[in-house]
Amino acid sequence: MFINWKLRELNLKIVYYGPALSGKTTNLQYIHARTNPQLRSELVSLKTREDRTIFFDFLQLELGQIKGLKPKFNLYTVPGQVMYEATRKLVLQGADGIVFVADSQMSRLADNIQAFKTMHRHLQDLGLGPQRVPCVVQFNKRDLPNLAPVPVLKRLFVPNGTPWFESVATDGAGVFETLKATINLVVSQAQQQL
Amino acid sequence: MSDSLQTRQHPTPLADQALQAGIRAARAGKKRFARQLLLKVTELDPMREEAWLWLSGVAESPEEALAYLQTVLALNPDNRQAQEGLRWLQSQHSPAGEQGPSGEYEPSPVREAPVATPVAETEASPGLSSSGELAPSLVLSVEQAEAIDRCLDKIADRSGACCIILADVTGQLIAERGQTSSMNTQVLSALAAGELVATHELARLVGEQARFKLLLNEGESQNVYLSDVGEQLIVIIVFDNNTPIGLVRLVLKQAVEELTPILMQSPPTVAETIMNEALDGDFAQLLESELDASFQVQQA
Repeated sequence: MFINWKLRELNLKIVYYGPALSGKTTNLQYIHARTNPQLRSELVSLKTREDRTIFFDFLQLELGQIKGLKPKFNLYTVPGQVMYEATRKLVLQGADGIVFVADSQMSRLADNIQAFKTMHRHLQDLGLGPQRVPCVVQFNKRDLPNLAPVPVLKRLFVPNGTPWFESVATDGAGVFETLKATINLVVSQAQQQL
Repeated sequence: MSDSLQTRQHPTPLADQALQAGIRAARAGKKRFARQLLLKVTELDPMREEAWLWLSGVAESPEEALAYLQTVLALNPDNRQAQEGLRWLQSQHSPAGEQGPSGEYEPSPVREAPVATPVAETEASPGLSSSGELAPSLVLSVEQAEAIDRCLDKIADRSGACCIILADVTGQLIAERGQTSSMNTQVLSALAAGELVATHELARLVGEQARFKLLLNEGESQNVYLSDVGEQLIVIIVFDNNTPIGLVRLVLKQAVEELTPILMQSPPTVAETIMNEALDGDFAQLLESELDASFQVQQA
């Protein structure tokens, strides 16, 4: 969180985390495509020739003044591939909120578990406990066959009280709901911290 | 949140019963029934390795069996039966073009209680920052913001740089001065932070004990100079070929000395109070309608 009192800006960082190809970039692409262009930055994607995220994607949402404050949300994704472990940790630094994007396909369950565990290890290393950084969980790709049952995913990735959403990020289902829930949590966390 | 994967190791009676029934059904060759029961177990207790293991034996396809086995190994990389099952499955599929497995994978009966071993953490922790803990948040008072602007103006003046940007190590833009209107400075900050951390990692990999403190991106007409300011901040200076790099370095050094005390001051409480008032009450509600409005514009 960064507050510039002179500009009355409240900057908050939200990181989309998850295993490779779970749809993190797709979430940002949809938000970018469907948000008023005056209120968002361009979507910056650092990716390989094969369209895989190599560093991160970045999108800034800037809302109008609310009670004299101008909230800005910096949305990042992490690269999902295993070899970019160090980059993922770097992007998590300073996160005010996290969206864990799980791939709902049965065949990706193990990858989700691995990513979830590594994420928590990184957060711990960075001194960001769950009390400090709220997390919302998204079960993506609900339109595909061979899905892991939602109760299984919930038991694995959704601790009590954590908001979770089913989504099909390619057509936008669940994308804004996830973002809104995350923003709500992040703002109420900021209220508590100040 | 962090406990979600670790706290589900208590056997539940219902899951136990379903597991035993599922194993019996699997052994009796009633695959479909076994699948139903075992899937129920994984719903009740997703941490039950046995259930995932037996599911792999009654899976409808090799891909599905593979997923179940990988889940077991994600929960417990040392599970030998899953390791063997995986090897068996892979041996059945190794030659290209061969059809599905000729035999069927049958996990050997599990007699022991579920192994509730916390999963070993095998990945090496990347040696990113030496500081570990980051400042929770940065609040700049009006006075601080103005002092920073003055300081950055002075650097731009003295060095003849096109623009100068102060950001934090997480990529958050803090202040910008100079000709920045045509630049996306927020993205520039994010990229610069990434680049600096990448060089820290490079330093570690080549065995450099300290960190590489600065980074110069040299172009034909424009250059970008990145440098740490203490543990938390970075300065980005964009300058053209009319500005000698030596001058930029000298001015930057002075800037660091001036910026540090400004940032050390804690912001006046009056600002916090007003901020608190703004964030209180209906702020969240107003924010939500603002968000809805910004999304809906394009949705129609």
